[in-house]
Amino acid sequence: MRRLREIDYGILTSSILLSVLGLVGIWGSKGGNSPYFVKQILWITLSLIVFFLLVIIDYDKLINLSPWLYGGLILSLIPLLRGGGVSSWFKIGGVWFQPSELGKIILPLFLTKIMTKKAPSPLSFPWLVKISAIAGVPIILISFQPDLGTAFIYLSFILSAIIVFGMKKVHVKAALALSILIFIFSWFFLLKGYQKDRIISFLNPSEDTRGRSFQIYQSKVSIGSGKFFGKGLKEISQAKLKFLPAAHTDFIFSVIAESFGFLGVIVVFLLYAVLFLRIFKIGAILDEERAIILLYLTAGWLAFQVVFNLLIAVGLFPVTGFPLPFMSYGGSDLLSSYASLGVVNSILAWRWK
Amino acid sequence: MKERVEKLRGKSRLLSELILAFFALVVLRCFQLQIIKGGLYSELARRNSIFRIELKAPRGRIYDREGRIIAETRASFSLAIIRAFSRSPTETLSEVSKVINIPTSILLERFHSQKNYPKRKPIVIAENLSMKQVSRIEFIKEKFPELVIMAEPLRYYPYPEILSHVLGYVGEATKREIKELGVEMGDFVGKKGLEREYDKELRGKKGYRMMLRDSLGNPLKLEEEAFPEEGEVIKTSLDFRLQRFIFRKMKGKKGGVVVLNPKTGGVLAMVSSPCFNSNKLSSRFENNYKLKMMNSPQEPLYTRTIQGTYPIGSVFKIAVAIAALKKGIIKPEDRIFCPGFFYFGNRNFKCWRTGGHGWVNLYSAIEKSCNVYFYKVGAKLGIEKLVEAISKFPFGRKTGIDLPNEKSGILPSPQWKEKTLGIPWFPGETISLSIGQGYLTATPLQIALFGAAIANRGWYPQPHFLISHGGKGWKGKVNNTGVDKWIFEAVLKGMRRVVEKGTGKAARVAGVEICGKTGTAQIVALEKTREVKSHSIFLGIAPCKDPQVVISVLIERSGEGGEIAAPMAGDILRYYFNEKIKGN
Repeated sequence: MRRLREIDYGILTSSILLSVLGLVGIWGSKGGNSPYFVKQILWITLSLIVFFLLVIIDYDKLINLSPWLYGGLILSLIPLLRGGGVSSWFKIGGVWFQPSELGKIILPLFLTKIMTKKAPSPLSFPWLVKISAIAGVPIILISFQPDLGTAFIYLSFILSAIIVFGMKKVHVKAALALSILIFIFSWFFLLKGYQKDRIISFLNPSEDTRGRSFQIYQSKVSIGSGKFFGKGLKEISQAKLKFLPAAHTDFIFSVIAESFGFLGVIVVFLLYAVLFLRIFKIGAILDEERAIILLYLTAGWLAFQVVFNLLIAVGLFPVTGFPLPFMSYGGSDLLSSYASLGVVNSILAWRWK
Repeated sequence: MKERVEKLRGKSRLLSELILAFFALVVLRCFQLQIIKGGLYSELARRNSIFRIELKAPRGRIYDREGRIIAETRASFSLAIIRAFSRSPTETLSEVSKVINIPTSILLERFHSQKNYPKRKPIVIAENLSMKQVSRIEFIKEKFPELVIMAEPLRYYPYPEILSHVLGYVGEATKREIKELGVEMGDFVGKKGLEREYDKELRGKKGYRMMLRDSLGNPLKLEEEAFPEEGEVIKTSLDFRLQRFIFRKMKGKKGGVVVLNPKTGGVLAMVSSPCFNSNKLSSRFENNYKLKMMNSPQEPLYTRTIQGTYPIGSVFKIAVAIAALKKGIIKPEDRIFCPGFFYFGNRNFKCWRTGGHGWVNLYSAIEKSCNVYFYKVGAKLGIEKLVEAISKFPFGRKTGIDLPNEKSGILPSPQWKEKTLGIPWFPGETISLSIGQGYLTATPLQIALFGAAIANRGWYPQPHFLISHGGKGWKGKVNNTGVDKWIFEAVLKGMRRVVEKGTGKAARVAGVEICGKTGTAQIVALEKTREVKSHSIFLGIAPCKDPQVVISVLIERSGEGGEIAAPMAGDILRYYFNEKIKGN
């Protein structure tokens, strides 16, 4: 229990404040009496319990356990593929959950286990392949669900590993060439019509606002119409009159921006900035290699998901659809986000044994 | 060992730098969206949710001289569809078709014909629904938020056929009308007749209703509304009963009748036959009827009274007499011998009476409509003097009546012929013109106005239907013929004899002195084998001393002026005087 005293309250406070702001957004778009609001409060409570549980568990134990967890993750993703390949949800004992969300905790642990004291810096080619394969297997499985949003987030594990360890210049060039080839290939053979539409609509935002770029357009209208001070929660026509789709989930940021204007936007960014800067500050006092790797891989996906959710909301990236960590409505995502913060604090708390 | 940790830590700094860079990017973007373009997006958000419903203005009512409504507006329950909220029009319309019993194909045709319609403006797909149909639509509206029931003012004519050419009809504005009249798509505008002439006055001012709606189109709240204003009331000089009487007389015949007050120029009745149904032509639907009217060989859409330019035959002899008296060529008492023919050049011009009329003066020549008298007078007068003397009369020029698309007819002259046909005038043509044949054409309205000039002994007013619009009265021009009064007295004396004992005896009305002139306009037959009857024409003025009324009757291809048009004019004048005596 003494480990709890080591918790970074900057991280905990800012994440809880973000969740409260998310609740306000849900209240604004769905109403205070809606089941969404009450459920979200329950999920936040549950997520905080998981957070504290993970703080009191030594992250080393989790790293050692990670090969088993990774194996379990892959297995749990396969039955979904067999069950028709339509759902990313999994039901255990009457509770639905997404194993892909659990993977966001497991992958950093497993990659840490594999890379510590072995991976060269900058990464060699065999190591690049190895890391890509470890992240790539779940990415492929999740893409077939098809949950492109989550699969996209998983790319952050490869990206974070490369940032932490560095990459040779030759490989950077080769990777660029390869990704272009992959894009061309997937455009013609892999992507489904609606996925292509999303990309097209992003490139041609002026197209029919009722058609495929509807979401991006409406999100921009929501944000823009908030102006400096916002319209206030009662007057947010975009979210309330259902012009903004998925207002309480993927586009919660737009709701806040419409309600509280540019001021609200600044508050959101200050909270996220505090959150991430506090996480990175932990990195400065760590001595253990595995602790550093695990910290950045964990923080990496969170940051990646935050940044891309916001880029989508402001119309700078095509829609794929995933929640904004800590703020969006939805249990699985809240759980994985807070659990990741739990891991981060566990690293902090267990730096002395 | 320690070195490796420091190396990884150092590289990881890139991660935090990247995040902060992206945060800065998104904040800048929000600044752009919210601060720089905030006004634009606020407007877009407002347009998303605020829905403007237009409220059509009722067109102004039109009355006859005795206050009878001849054009009004009735509320119609109309069904409309808003394209912006429509996901599958075919599905919606087939459902609608089931409940209101209008074939899906008709609904779809109407829907697709309005492709250029604004997406958020309701497209009317059915008019005049019954309460039963309305309640059935209300029942399925839950499923189809794109459907709207509107109580909309629609033009209604209580006597759609009797007044068809005078009132005209209305219809949705065409692209050209939208540009020219400054109206909006889907607005009704006058297409013909008084509806078109006084469209601006009759149109009224539209209102609107601003509704708050969600993205599915469900109305939530009334934000703002402005009631429409009815168009101006128009009072006309028409006498509905007289119009109806003439309409019934003209049924089955082709031609036109104009009755007007020579002093004021107010038109009492104007019937062009065959007619059309103004209500049907004003409908958004009835496409079959519209096509039928447009393609009918009877040309019912053609207003014969102002657009039909006919040869007017012997009626023109009066104009020739006026010209000859004005130029001093003859005196009324001068006698001329009619042997039944007149040689001019090397042509033989015949009188209509084979044996000739013997010695005739102006009065008997008019009474008997002697051709030879007028041939000789015309030959003596010459074309230049003839045209010059009657240049102020309403021939070859528009009368300026308040109806659109009036035709001017032709008053031929050497200059006119040179200009339009490129060939010189032949002296023989002057002879033909002296009895109203050749290139001369005029509308029944011009004939009546010519009658007004005679009735007033020298001047004639601008003919019109309007008495007032929105309280503002009619202001028309007065034309002076520049001919002395005694000349008119002389021709009127002859015209009196026409009805008393001459060619126009059939127009006699007991107790009323009527002056008149018959006309029989021969038509050049294109097929020689078929016998073509002449246009039968009658011009009447009554009473002779102080005329109250002028009538012109023209019946196409029916026979002699004295046989067909004169008795018809007599019946109309009899009705006019009898009713008037009873009425006033």
